[in-house]
Amino acid sequence: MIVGYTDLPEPAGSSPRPLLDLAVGDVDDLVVPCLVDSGAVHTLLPRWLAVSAGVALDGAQRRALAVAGAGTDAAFITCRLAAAGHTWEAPVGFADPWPYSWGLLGHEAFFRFFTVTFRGADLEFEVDPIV
Amino acid sequence: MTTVRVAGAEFTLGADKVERRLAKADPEPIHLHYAVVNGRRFPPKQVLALITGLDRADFTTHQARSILRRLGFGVYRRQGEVAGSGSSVSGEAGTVLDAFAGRWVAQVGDDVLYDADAPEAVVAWLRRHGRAGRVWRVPASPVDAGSALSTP
Repeated sequence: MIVGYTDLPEPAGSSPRPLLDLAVGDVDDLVVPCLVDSGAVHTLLPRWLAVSAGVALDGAQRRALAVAGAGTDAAFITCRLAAAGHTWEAPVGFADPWPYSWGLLGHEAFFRFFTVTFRGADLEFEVDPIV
Repeated sequence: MTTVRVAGAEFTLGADKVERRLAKADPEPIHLHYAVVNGRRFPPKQVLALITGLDRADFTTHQARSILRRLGFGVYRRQGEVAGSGSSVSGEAGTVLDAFAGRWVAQVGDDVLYDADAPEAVVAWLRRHGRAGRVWRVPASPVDAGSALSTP
């Protein structure tokens, strides 16, 4: 699947970003944009999403992480993910507080499952599931 | 103030009254036409029904659009046709999102369906209206849109 970079409003700067819509859990009415971030180890999402998607965090492994220079508490749990026409299960950290407008797709839970080709000059990237 | 006649009854309306009445109203999904009130998009028939108390079957979308235009509100058709005064909401994706910087939105393509102060309110609106969409907070600053490194 080829995905165009997302335009942002002027106050956020003019550089479009490689964002990929991700669904979590068993819901199909809600996706959140996530930055395809090859510099991120984990896949991290805002915690409100776990509640809205019905992902129970009972038994989640809690870790203190630093994101954007500030501390956050991430609850890691394995859940169903869907993006780019593909569904898989992987551990995701639901973090609170969360500083960004989007989630982060990192190596754990994302790059292990996809081949991603960035074509920055064309403001697009290609995502292919590894089968 | 403007006096209008709808479904055999007269109503004296003004923009201030409309804005006050809709301040806490929950916009319904837009099908084709919409009016911008308090910076939010409403179906014209929803607006006219709320400010007059009439049943929506008592008037047409054309009447609602005409009255709202007379009151000075921007009245539009989806896909970018501007049919009245007021600030433009349609346009390219980045331009559309400018008006929602810092807000939580439900977005489908270039269309912002709904905006609110919190993600839970946006998700509740989507589910109330049986809609699906991308939910996110439109970045309002470079910090919101910063890249990040997470540490294990």
